[in-house]
Amino acid sequence: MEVLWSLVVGVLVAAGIYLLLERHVLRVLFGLILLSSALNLAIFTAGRLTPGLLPLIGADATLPPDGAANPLPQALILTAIVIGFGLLIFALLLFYRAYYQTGSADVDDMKRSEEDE
Amino acid sequence: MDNITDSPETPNSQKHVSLLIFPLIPIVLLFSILSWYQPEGVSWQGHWIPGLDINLSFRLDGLSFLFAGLITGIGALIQFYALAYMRGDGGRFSFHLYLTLFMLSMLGLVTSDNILLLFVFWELTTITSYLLIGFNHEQNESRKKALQSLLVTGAGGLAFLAGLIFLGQMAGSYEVSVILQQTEQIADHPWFVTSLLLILLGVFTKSAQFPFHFWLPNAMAAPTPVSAYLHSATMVKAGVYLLARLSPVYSDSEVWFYALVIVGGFTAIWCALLAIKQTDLKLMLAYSTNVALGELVLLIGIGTEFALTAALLFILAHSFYKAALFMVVGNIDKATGTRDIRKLHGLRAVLVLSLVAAILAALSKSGVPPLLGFLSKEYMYKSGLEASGLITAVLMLANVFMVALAIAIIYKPFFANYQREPIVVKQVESSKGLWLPAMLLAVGSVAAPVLGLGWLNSQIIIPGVISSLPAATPDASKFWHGINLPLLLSVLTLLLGGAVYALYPRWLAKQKKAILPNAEAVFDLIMNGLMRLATWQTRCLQQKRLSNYVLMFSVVLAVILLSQPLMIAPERLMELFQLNFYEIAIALLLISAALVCTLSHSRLLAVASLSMVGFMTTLVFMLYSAADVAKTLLLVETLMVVFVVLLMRHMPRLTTVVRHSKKRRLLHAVIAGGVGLSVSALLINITAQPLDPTLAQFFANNSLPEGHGRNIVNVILVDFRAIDTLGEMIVVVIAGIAAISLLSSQNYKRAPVHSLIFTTTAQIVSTLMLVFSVYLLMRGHNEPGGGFIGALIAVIGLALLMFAKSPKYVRDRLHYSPMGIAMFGICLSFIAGLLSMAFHLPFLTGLWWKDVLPLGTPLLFDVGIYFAIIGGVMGILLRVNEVLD
Repeated sequence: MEVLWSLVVGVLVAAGIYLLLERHVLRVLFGLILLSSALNLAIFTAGRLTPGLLPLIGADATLPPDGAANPLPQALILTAIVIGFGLLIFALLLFYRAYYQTGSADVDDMKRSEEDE
Repeated sequence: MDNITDSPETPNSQKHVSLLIFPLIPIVLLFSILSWYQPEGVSWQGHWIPGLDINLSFRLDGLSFLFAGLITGIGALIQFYALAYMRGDGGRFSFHLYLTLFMLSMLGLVTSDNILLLFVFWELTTITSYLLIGFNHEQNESRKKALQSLLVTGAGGLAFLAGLIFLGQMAGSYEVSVILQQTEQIADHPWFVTSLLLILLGVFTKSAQFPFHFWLPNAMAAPTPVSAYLHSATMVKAGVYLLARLSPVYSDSEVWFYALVIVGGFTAIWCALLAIKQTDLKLMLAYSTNVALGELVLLIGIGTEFALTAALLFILAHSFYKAALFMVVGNIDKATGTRDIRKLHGLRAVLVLSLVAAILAALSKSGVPPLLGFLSKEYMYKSGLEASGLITAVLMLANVFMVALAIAIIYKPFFANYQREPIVVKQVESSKGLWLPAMLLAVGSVAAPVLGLGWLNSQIIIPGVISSLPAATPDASKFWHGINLPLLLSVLTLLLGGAVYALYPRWLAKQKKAILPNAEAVFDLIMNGLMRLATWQTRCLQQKRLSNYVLMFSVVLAVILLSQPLMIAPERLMELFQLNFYEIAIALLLISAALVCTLSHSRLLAVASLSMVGFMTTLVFMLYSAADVAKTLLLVETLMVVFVVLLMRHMPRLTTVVRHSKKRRLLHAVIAGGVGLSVSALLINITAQPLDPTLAQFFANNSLPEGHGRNIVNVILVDFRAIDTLGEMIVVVIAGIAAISLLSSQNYKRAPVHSLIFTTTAQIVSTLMLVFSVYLLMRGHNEPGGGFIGALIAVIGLALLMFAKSPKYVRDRLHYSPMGIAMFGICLSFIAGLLSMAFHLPFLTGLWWKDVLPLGTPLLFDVGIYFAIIGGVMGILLRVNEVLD
């Protein structure tokens, strides 16, 4: 299983980086979104995959069932998802503002960082 | 400045009383030091960073005592003087504060018994003197000079630190007292000369030795009290102090001897030549400080008993007369508004008290008996004669110039009677603070040797010499040694000094052109070169094209990743044939969605495929037992789509921007492919290794007994690793605030969606979702759910309402501002964390009251998350919708 998802992560990473290198500001944003998906999946895969056994403790048990999924990567991904969400929303609005300010959606055109130039 | 003649009833006089604390501090310190001090030395130890052998160890021995006494004693007088001098200046409070900080740093420097601690104080003096030199920061010149002194002494400080670390490593300890016991072992060490040279570099920059001498005269940009202090008792003497302190370690080395004697001697002569050319009184004094420092370095280089006695006496004498002369010059400046000796004349009638102080100080500077200056010069010549004729000649030449300078400083402004335009002179001596400190110092120059020589000898000079030369058994210094060669030389020096003064106007007339190369010009040249290099380098690296930056970044990433050979065991790949059909189907859908997103020319198609990627990823998490993650991701993806669609309509189509050339895109594809491939290989290899289950096991075992929760993931988030969650929550809220600030806040009117069914159902559905979100929040600790998931459901419910009605409708229903809600949430979580501290447990430790109610602080924490996320995300969403629709 891990091999399959490792390959999928690779494809997502490649697509993300390819898009980051583009000139249209929306494409760059898409690249960021793809990369953040890929990374969540990568953390998950690296923590091993367990089909159909949630890391929950039953009502009358004190320990989760044997072979239950690894809870740590899940907690890490949860944090990563929420922070990634904040980052992406910020990037989205930043790109919009940059477009609004410069009148161009071409990232290579957004060069006037300083007033006096 | 002009307020000096104002009546004492100005509003400033009120503040004056509270400012008296500043001179009080050094006075108290001085008396404490006097009472603590014992000639054999007292130590005080404290812990700071024991692991790095950095301790708060202080020691007060003869050498430290001399300096500490000068720093606090002259410090008190300077503070008094500054009270009068800076009257009427708006920033005088900060001025006194900086001065005090500087004094404390100096005091720390001369009493530290740990060389790293000493270095900390050393740098503190650099920083505080920067503040003082640049005190008139509205003036460009002032800022420039302050920066110059900071750069020179700061750069020297770096070398100095390296030298100290070498020294500490050689000795095996950073404690001075330990280092001093290992001098033999250090002398044989291969790093000996390296450490010596590095330390000397630091000392020479600090004590303004050639070729770093120029920062000191430039530091004249500071107000006069600062110059008086910096030049007499402190800053520049720090280097001399250090030389004397480390002398037992290094003085046997020839490198030490020649470096100090040559550099010190050269500095003395060179700066004497510069000093005599100056026309600004302050600059004349400044260069003469350079001369004095050169002589001191030279004396410590010689390092004999006589030389060290001379050095200590000279430090004392120089501090007294130099501070007094600077104060007098400050008074002249205040009274006339100029310091130019070509304009000043006939001040003897006005500045009578300053004149008396100046004459006494100048006599000490020239070395006339029975003043302190004479005593130090006697020993200077004694030690010179003991060493070599050349050294004596150098010392004498420097002293001859000192005499000439002293005559010039007194005669020109006070006695000369030019037939020139009369200068306007203000009465400044009605203010005691301006003349009394100078007078005390001047009288001290006479009184100390005449009345207190015995005390000086037993308390300072003899223990001080022993600090620098442990083997020494110095005799008590005395005035009269009979008629001998040093005395004759002293007399000769005075005569020659008079001659130089008489001849020097003529000599000066010939010196129209500067014959001496200017070290400052070299410094400026280097600085400009550095700036040009930085500009060039910036231009090379920053082409202001985002795609180029990303390209560079990705290439580096690809090179690093691909530098490891891609090795995948073939049997791992066999795994692919044992997969379930649905796994392969999801994987293929993911891959094709990613490819569509990459290649599509339509915004909508790209966004649709992106959400496809998101939802397929959710499915993967669901499939492999990550229920919480799947739920959160589903909600996040939904919200993400809402945001992207809202904004996308306001961005141009994908086809409107020129793409990169075909070749360039091919390069991109290769790089992206390379990175992707190596990430895959990396992951495959990682997962081939056995997994360390320790952490997972720990969480599984402790979730119920310690965290009181059955959903391990949630327990990790709100209990075991709650501080991460707290940070993350704050990040989201900050991102929200930043995002909102990117959109200007005009409110646009917006027509709501005209569908009766949608509007009515939206009301019902969003109410249901809000209720459901609270349910998810409450059950989160034991089953999938929790603060995040609940909050996101609530946000989506509110978003629905926002689309159906209007953002204003939602704002009204929320009642509080979204960011206010977010802040409330953050505060709630903090309180949950702080509660445990009230029970003397670490921050964010979970507290439970299971016996009473199924409640605990992690639940409160989760509620905090709930509010923070609702507030943060709703804030952005509402703003986006208001601005863009």
